[in-house]
Amino acid sequence: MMPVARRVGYGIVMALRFFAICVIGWFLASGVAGLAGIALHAVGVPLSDGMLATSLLSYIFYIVIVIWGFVDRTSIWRPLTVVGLAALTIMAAGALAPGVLDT
Amino acid sequence: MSESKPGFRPAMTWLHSWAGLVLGLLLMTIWWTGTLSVFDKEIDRWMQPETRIAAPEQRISADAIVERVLTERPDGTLSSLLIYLPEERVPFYEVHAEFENAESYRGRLHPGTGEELGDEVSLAASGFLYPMHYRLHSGAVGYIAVALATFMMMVLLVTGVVIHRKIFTDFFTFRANRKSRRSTLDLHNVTGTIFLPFHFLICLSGFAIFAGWYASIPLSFVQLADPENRAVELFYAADNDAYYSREAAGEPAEMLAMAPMVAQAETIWRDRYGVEAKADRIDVTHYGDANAVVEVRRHFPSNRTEAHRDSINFDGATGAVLTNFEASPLRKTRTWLEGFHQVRFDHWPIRWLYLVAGLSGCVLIGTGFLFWAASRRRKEAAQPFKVRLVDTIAVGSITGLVLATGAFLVVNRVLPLDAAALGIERAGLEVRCFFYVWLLTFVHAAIRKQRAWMEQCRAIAVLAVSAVALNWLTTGDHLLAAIGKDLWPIVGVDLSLLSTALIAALAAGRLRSKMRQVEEAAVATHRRDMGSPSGAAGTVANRAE
Repeated sequence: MMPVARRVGYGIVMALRFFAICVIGWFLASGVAGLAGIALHAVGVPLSDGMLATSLLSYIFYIVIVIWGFVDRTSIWRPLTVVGLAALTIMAAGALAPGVLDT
Repeated sequence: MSESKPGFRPAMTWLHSWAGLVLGLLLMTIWWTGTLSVFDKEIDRWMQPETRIAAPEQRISADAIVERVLTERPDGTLSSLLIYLPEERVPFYEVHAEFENAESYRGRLHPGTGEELGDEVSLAASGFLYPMHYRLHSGAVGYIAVALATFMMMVLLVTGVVIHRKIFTDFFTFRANRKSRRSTLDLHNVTGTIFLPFHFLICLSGFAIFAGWYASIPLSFVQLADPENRAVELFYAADNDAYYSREAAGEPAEMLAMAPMVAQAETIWRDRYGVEAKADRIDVTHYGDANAVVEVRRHFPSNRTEAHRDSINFDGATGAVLTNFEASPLRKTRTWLEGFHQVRFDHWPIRWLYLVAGLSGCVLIGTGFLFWAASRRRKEAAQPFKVRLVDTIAVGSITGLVLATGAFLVVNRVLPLDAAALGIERAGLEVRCFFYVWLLTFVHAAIRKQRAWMEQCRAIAVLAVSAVALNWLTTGDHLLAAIGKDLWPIVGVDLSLLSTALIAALAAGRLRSKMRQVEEAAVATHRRDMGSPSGAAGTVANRAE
């Protein structure tokens, strides 16, 4: 049986991990979907079709992210990777969006 | 952390258990309200008796309805208009009109006479249970919570498949006579495996309806750093191609009749699909302007699964076709998914199957809760708070939700039409009743512990029978009368309520007998202990400890 302080600490760490992977994982899935849609547009797929396809597929990205994130729940790098990649992909989509939307 | 690295399957088991536990209440709410929404129009007609009208032999046209609205408001200039045309499940016109003086009109009109059916004094299922399903009556927060729950439900389904070593065996295994923990897990596995394709597809299709919006929410955070950034608009492109709009010209023009436009649109669709096609919605923008647009839609075809696919825009002043939307193959996939989820096509056996499959989802989530609590009850006897908390949430989210729905129906039949209190109108009172009763079920569960299951089952039985009786007393439409009037939606709701009452009463009876057995066993053990010298000594020793 874990002492109370350790149990509370474990709960907080797990809640943070849950937030990082399950909530920020959604951001990462969305960022990847946005970039994939932009890439499809770059190779000639109409923007509406590309974005529709990648938004529908974003749930697969999400499932993969969450499963990967929890396969090793002692790793500190997995949630941090999700958060870092989410920030990067969202910023990249933000930077590329005007060029796509104005064409 | 001193935890050792688990293997893939144990890691997925952990994720399945904890994610299910954390999101169980939310998932149960979404599944239960979604399941009821399969029959939302029928529940509407039960809760809004003024809409229990028979379809007339001759239907008046949408133009006559517009004239009717304009005579109601002679001082207003119409700016936009939305008309839902009568159909089998909603046999009346629904009109939403906006006037240039910022006033609005919303009414339900008789399809044969154009007379108003009366004020809408209840939100019923379409206005309360259905929106509860996708936004929890909590605005943007509700949408986001449902989005997250949808994502996680799919994770739960995938991890559920991963953790089962013998999924084929699970398909056929339900040992009802085993100990409750074992039979609960069997029931969880059986409902999970038999209905797995439905559960997965219903989550995916629910996600598909809002896919563009869900994907754009994270991108909206870019605007926190750069308000000018338009990244959020990327996914709007996934929805925009189906809509047409143009600016008002600012010059008045005579509006053409809409009935020929509706007929033309139906002919175009009939030629396209080779089967009869009925328009179900007319949307007019810039009414009375030279640039008026009349959009005729077939939002929910009665003879196809697809939804939101057929839309033709006409020039309101000349009648010319402006756009005739032709969905791309990819969009057709999405419209099929949307139609699959919203189940508005005419097929009664499939509608009932949806109800059964939806209830199986509720059983899946509920048994997951129960199994978690039963497992921990043995393992963590030193932490009764955790188990009691989960027990309380389980009772509130299973029987509590059904009880709150029953109260919602009963209060709908009890409140006078003009009821209002504390500045809240009748419809709001019904909704508050639902939430207050639901909250009380959690309090009751926390106080009464295991007895709460039995007591809430009894309350469900009483409320369900009361709802049927009150419907009879307040409308005169008892079962035989409703059958005589061909009011099959009312018959269906009444019979469903009576079935619910029967199941709840049987469950309460079984729980009662189980409790009695446990109590008798405890008393017998106590007597035996007291009767034997070692038992008495042991009892004294235990007390001393």
